[in-house]
Amino acid sequence: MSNQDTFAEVSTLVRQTLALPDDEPIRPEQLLFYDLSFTSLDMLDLLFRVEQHFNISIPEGTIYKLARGDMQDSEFAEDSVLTAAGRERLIALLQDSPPQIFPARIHTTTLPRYCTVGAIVRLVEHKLAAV
Amino acid sequence: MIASPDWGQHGRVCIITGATGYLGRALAHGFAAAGATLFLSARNQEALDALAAELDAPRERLHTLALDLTESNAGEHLINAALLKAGHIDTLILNAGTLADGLVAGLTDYELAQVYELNLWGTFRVLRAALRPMILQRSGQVIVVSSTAARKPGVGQGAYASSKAALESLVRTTALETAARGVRINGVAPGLLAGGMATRILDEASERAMQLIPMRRPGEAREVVPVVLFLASPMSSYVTGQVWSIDGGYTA
Repeated sequence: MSNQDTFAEVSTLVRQTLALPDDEPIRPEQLLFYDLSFTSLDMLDLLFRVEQHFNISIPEGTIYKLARGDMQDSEFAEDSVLTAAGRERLIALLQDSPPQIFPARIHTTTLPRYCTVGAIVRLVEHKLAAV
Repeated sequence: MIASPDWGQHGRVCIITGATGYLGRALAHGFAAAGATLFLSARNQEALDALAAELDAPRERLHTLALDLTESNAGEHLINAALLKAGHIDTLILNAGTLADGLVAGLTDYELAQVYELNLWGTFRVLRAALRPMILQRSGQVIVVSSTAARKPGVGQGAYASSKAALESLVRTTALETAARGVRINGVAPGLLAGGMATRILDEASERAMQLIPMRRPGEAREVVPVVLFLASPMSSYVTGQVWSIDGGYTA
């Protein structure tokens, strides 16, 4: 499956999540929470749809784990807030999200808030490659 | 005799946990008679088979699943089994529960854990598993069986009453989170019923208990069933996050 195919399918799932018309344009650089007005339930709904559609599992904390990589938990976050190094890791992972949207203090439970549609496409492709 | 209304259950798929208890059996009878396809869950397969045999519904509308909801994967197993057979779930009635009477000062960790494991964790796990398909299908009704003890506990009900109070809070929170997805969740809080868990109270302190109930009698399971049918029906389409007391005026 090409990146364009995955993007087209994720776009359809985003439209279904938000009950948008089929011809509503979705762009990879759109931020789910900022541009598409996602709520946390919309995010959960989208991930349910992504899991079902692609037959993959995206457990809670996936973005945290991907951003942390080989870093120790204690290096990545302190008292549930990302350290400076952790923040850099997250920004690197979510490379297409504008840096100005990341606040100084990023709580570990809010990481999906900074995802673009493109980040979800990359997440799906990462999971599909691991199957 | 009052004619039974059309509760809109024909073609609907309904799961009932704790189906072989006093209230569970009445609910199974009520929803079977209303035309729903049932998935009945309890611990004992023989009791489930006996219940299915006495229900007024064709066998193809009745499915049974013996499960111990205190096991961590039981909730998911129940929901997946229903989805596999029926393709969707319309109504989930979370009725399984247990109690362990004891003064808080003397309540052991084990007693508290036993009650919480089924009443709270078991219920939560089935609810969580059911919310995924309901959110995706943009519809679903959940009815949680609480108790008047949640609001008005009696001496010795620390474990039971607090587990039910936690469930009522879960009902309200879940309602807030899922209302925009067409999923409704409500609770019913029966008072003292003339069967099941309350029989010990009726055996030991019937007269005193009746003094506390304005109607001066215990309720019957069949008096709870129409409220649950209503909450599961399209007639209650604007009702969510509520807990309905059915208690002869006990909490009035």
